[in-house]
Amino acid sequence: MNDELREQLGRLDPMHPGVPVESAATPSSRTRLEQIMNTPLLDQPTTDPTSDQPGAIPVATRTTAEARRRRNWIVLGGAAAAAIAAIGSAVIIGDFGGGGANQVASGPPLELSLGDSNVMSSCIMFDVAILADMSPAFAGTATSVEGSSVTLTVDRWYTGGDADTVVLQGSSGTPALIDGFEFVVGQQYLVTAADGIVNFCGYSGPATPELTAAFDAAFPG
Amino acid sequence: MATADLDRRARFESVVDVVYEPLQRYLGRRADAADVSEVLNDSLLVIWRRLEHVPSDDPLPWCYSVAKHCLANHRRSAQRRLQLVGRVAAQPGMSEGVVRHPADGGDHDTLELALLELDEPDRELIRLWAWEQLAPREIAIVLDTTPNAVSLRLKRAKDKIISSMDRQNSAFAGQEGFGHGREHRP
Repeated sequence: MNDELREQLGRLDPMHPGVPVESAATPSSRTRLEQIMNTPLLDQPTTDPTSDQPGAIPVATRTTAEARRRRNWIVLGGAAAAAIAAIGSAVIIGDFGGGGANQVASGPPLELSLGDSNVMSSCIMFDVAILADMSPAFAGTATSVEGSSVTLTVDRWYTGGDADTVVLQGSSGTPALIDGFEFVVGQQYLVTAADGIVNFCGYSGPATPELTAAFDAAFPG
Repeated sequence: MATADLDRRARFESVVDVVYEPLQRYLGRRADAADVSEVLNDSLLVIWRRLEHVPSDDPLPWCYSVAKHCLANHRRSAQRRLQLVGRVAAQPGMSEGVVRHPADGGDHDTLELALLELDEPDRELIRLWAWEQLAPREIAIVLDTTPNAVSLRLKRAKDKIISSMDRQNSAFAGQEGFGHGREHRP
């Protein structure tokens, strides 16, 4: 059944092997490839070979433990993070746990937690190399803010997902905050998360030119 | 040019040899012809910049995954531009590829209809299996999931196709039988 079905499906293939495509050896292909190979390489952290995969490349190859380890030295959200962001940065501590790996489903909205505002947390110094280790990471525009829940339409996935919509859920009964800022409908935000919890301390926030530049540097391509 | 640069170029060229044409087919199945060249460029640029992470033994699934995300970002940008100029239109979803509607008069109406009845994630799974000719472990890399999950979902998707075709054929046979009866009625 398998081979027969595959063969039948192959007959529906709009790009079956009989359809010509451009060889890598044609002059226009060579021009394209030369241009690409002359593109300057950006500095990239290489501590985690799966970290700066394009888009959502093998997030699944990361273990939950690895994700949790990263989470340990990043950040937590809500009021605590807001306060910490206000006074600068420090060193991180603590296992904030968090369930589930940071994998992302295709299609349905991705749900991320904005963390527990009652949990104490600390920050580490902002570093693009650390930002590059974050997954998922995306740019999204707030389309609704309802109490502790914010819906973002994804403008661009830097890594770790392909959902079109992301819902950020804060602590019940408190307004949703991102690194101390209230969400505003129509405003674009840059967001990273680990273990399903949004990172703060400069690793997520309104899409300022500075943060956008940092994301571009951390997630080239 | 430094030796390291030459090595990098040689490595990139060796990957390109393997993926250049398959990536064009992959994108051609899922994107408008006008977008293929641009998304191919984006994909190759990502591959060039992340060359250290391209698996040396089997680069193609990894590169399909790159193309998948480049295509998704391309579509998001396009959709946002459309929205900005007030031309919100129903655009094809990220993974939606070319599947002709049976009304187009294809020769494989039953199978096409069965494909159309699948939801988009299942259809993409079938495309990767039948058109890109990938094994479950390779599909798992493209879709960022596990080979086991792919195998299970793939089997279910194939079963749905077969069931749909059987159902269509039975319905067709029923109509044929009914038609014959009328023709021979005195």
